[in-house]
Amino acid sequence: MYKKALALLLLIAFLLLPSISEAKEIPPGRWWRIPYFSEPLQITDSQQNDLDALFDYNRNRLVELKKQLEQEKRDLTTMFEQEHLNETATLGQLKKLESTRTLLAATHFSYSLEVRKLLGHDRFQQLKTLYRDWQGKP
Amino acid sequence: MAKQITGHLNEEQIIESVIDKSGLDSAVRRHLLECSACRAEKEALENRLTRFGQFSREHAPSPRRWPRLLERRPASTIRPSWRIRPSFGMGMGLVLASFLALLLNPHLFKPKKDVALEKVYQEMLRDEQFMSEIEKLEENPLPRFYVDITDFSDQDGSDDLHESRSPGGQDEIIT
Repeated sequence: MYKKALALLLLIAFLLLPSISEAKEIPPGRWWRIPYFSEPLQITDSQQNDLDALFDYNRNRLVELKKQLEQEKRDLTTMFEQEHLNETATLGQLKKLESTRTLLAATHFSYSLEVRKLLGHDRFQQLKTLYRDWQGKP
Repeated sequence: MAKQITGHLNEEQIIESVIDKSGLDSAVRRHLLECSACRAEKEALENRLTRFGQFSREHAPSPRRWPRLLERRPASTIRPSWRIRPSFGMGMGLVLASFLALLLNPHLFKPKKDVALEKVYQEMLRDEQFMSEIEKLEENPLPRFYVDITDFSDQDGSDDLHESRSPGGQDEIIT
């Protein structure tokens, strides 16, 4: 039963992997504040503020989830290394860890999704092209 | 009628008779001619002064160069201002120190826009690092031991190994 649940979680994570790789095509940080990106994409002041709010919320949430995931990982290690192993509790902890991991991936992905919604198809494609051609800080 | 001196001359009159003979009162002059005691006292004072003069001339150091008055510099002469007023020199020092401080802190020369952009770049670097940590966790959050022992290609074909180990679905402590 646990293995089935685990397999399901891993499947969800696997399905999210392409989305995660999509996220890598978005520049890190507040790229909309850099003229190299903001000028050709014609990002308005209002959109910059929206992106700021989205970025702040998303990164704060990711920080929380990262902490949670690392704690759950420590808890699982502790359970596993106990002399008297509680198999059910350990597998339950593993499930919890996988759930948090899925949530982390989904939160990461949701950022890309919101950026894609805000920019629209054409500008999103343009952003990816700009990022690929970007030489970094001038 | 001429003034008469009774007794001897006092100390002041003796000194006066030595240093200002021409201005001497006639009564004093006459007394000095008549009184040998006062005359002796006057001569003794003269002798002491003469010896003192000789002694001073003999022991005074010979001047190496003659003293002279400082020349008045013309108004056009350029001299460093801090030599005139120490406060001006201190002020100059402060100005130089401030200039050096500005030179050593490049952010103070940059326009505000550049400073803001620099912050964005720095945040980008931090965010890139943070997101790579997130991606690592997304890929594999499990502890190493779990990765080593997990194998989903059940070799024995059993789909529910856990249930076979813990019949009744109760928590079981394995020692």
